[in-house]
Amino acid sequence: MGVYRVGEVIKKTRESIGMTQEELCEGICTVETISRIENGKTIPSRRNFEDLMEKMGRTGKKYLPFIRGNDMETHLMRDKLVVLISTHRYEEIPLLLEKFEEKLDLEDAVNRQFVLRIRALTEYNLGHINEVEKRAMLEEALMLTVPKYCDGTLPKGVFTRNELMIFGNIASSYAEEGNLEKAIAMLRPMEEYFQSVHIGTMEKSISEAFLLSSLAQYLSRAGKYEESRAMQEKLKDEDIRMRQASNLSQLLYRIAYNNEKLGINEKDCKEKLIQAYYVARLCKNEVMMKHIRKHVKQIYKDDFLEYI
Amino acid sequence: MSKNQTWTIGEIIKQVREEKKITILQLSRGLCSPATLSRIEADKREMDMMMASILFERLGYNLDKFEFYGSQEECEQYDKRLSIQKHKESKEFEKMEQELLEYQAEIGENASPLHEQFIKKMWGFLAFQTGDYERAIQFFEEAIRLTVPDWQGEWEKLTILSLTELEILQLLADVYSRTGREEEAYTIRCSILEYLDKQNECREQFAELYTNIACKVLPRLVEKGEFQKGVFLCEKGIEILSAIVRMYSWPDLLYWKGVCLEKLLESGEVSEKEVIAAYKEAYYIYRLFSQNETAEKIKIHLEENYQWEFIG
Repeated sequence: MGVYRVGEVIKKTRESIGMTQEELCEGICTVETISRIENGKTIPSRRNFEDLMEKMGRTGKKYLPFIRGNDMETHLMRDKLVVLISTHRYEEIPLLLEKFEEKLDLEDAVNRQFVLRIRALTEYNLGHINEVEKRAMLEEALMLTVPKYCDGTLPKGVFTRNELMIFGNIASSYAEEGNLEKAIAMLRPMEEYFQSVHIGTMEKSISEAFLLSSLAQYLSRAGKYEESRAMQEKLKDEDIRMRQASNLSQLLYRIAYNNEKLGINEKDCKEKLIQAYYVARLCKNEVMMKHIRKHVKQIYKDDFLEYI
Repeated sequence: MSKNQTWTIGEIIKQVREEKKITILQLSRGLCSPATLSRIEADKREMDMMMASILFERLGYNLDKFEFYGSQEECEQYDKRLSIQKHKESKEFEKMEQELLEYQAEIGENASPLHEQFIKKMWGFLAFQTGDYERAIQFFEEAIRLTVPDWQGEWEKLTILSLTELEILQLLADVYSRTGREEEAYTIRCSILEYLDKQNECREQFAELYTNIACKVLPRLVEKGEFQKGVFLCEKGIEILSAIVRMYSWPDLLYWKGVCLEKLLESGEVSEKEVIAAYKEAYYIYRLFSQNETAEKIKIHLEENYQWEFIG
C-alpha cells in the first residue's frame, strides 16, 4: 500500500491548491495546530482530519482505495484491465471495460479518470481515434483530479500511480507525433520527483519504471544512445531484481537496439533479443513478439527466433 | 458521492468477507474477538495498520490498492519494518539485526501479538541464517502460534491465512528440511500449495510464495516418479506468472519442467523437441537473472545429450 504521513499529505495537498495554513484551518483548528500537524508533531483527530481534507476537496478517510468500487470483482477487473493495457491486448478490452463501467460509480472522478484513460488508449490502438484525439482524452482524464495540469507541466504535489501513468501516456503521444523534445522535457523532471517523494516501494517502482523507461526510449530516438543505454541498463536491472516482467521485454529490446546502433556486443544483442522474446511470450504480448521477430528478420541474416 | 460507494475500510472488509463466505469467527481467529471485528466492520472501532494489513491479507485483498494516511509513529514503524525486510532481502544481516533490536525496543512492552509475530519471524530468520536451527524452529513455531493456534491440524481446510502467516510456515518448512525433518517439511509445503490452489483470486499476493514452494516440492515429486504431476505443477506456476506478469522462480520452473519432461521422454510420452524447448528457455532466463553457472550446466547437458548448438 502507499503509506503516507498524514502531515505530509495535508501539507502537499494544501500547497498544491495554493491554500495558506490560515485559510485551511479557519473554522476547524488553530494555525499552530495545523503547523504541528504538517510537521508531524501532532496527529489530527479523526474529525479534524476529515474536515481539513474535505475543505481541500479530498476525502478524509484513513484508507483510500484507488478505485471506489463495491466489491472484489471490481478490483480484479481493474487489475485485468491494467495488465491488458500494459501487454497491448487491446481487442480484449472493450467487452471487459463495458462490464467494468456498469459496476462502477462514474460520478466519482477517480473512477472516471481510470476509465477515460483505458478508453483513450484502447480506441486509439483499435484505430477508432487519432493521436490528437487520444491526447485530448488523456489530458481530460488527468485534469479530472489534477486541474492545474497545463500543457505538459505537472503542478507541485504528490500524484497517484494512475495520474503518473496518464502523464506518461501524454508524453508518449508527443513522441509518437515526432515531438521528441517535448516528450523528453516532460519526463526529465520525473527523475527528481521520484527521489523526493516518500511512497511505498511497489507503487514507486511501477510508475517510476514506466516513466523513466519512456524517457530512455525517447533519448535513444533523439540520438542520445549513451545516456539512454545507461538509464535502460539500470531500469532493466531493477525490473529483474523485482521480477517485474511488464516493461522488461521492451527494455531488453531497446538495449539491443541501442547496442546495434552503437555497433557493439553483437552476441549480447542476440541473447537480449531472445530473452526479450521469451519475456514477451510470458506476458502473452503478441504485439511485442511480432515486433521483435520483425526486427530480427530485418537486421540479422537468419531468423534465430524461429526455433523458440 | 453516491450511496453505492464503499468508502470505509470497515465496509470493504465486511463486503469482501461476505462475498468469500468467510465468517467473522474465521477471520478474527487469532487476531481479535469476533465482537471487535464486528465493530471494526461497522466503523465503530478504528484499527491500526498492522491489524488492517493482516485482515486484508487473510481476505486475499491486495493492500496496494490503498493509500494509507498514518500517524508519524505508525509510519515510522512501517518504515522500520520495510527497512528490516530490505536488509533481509539484500542479505545485510548485521544491519537487519541492529534495526530489529531498535524496533523491538521502540515497540516496547506494549507489543500487540501482531508486532510480536513480526519480531519473532525476523529473529527466526536470523537464527536460520546463522545456523542456529533449533532456535529458528522455536521462533517460527511461536510466531505462527500467536495468530494460528491450530496450525498443526488440518489448517488448510479450516482457517484462512494471510501471506505473512503462510510465509512463517514456509520458513518453518525450510528449517525442518535443513534439519532432516523432510517429511514434515513436505507436508507443510503440500498443505500450503493445496490451500493456495483454492484461493483463486489472490494470485498476485501469493504468486511468489506459490512458485517458491512449488520449486521445493518438485525435486521430491521427481524422486517419487510423479513426472506428470511435476509438469502440471510447473505449468500451473508459469500460468500464474503470466497472469500477473511477474517472474518469480521462472527459470527454476522451466528447469524442473525440463527435468520432468525428460523423464517422460524415456517412456515416449513426450517429444525431444519439448524437452529441448524447456531447457533452452531455462538457459536463457537463468542468464537473464545472472545465474550463469546454472545456465552453463544446462547448456552442457543439452550439448552432450541432444547435440544442440547454441545461437551466438
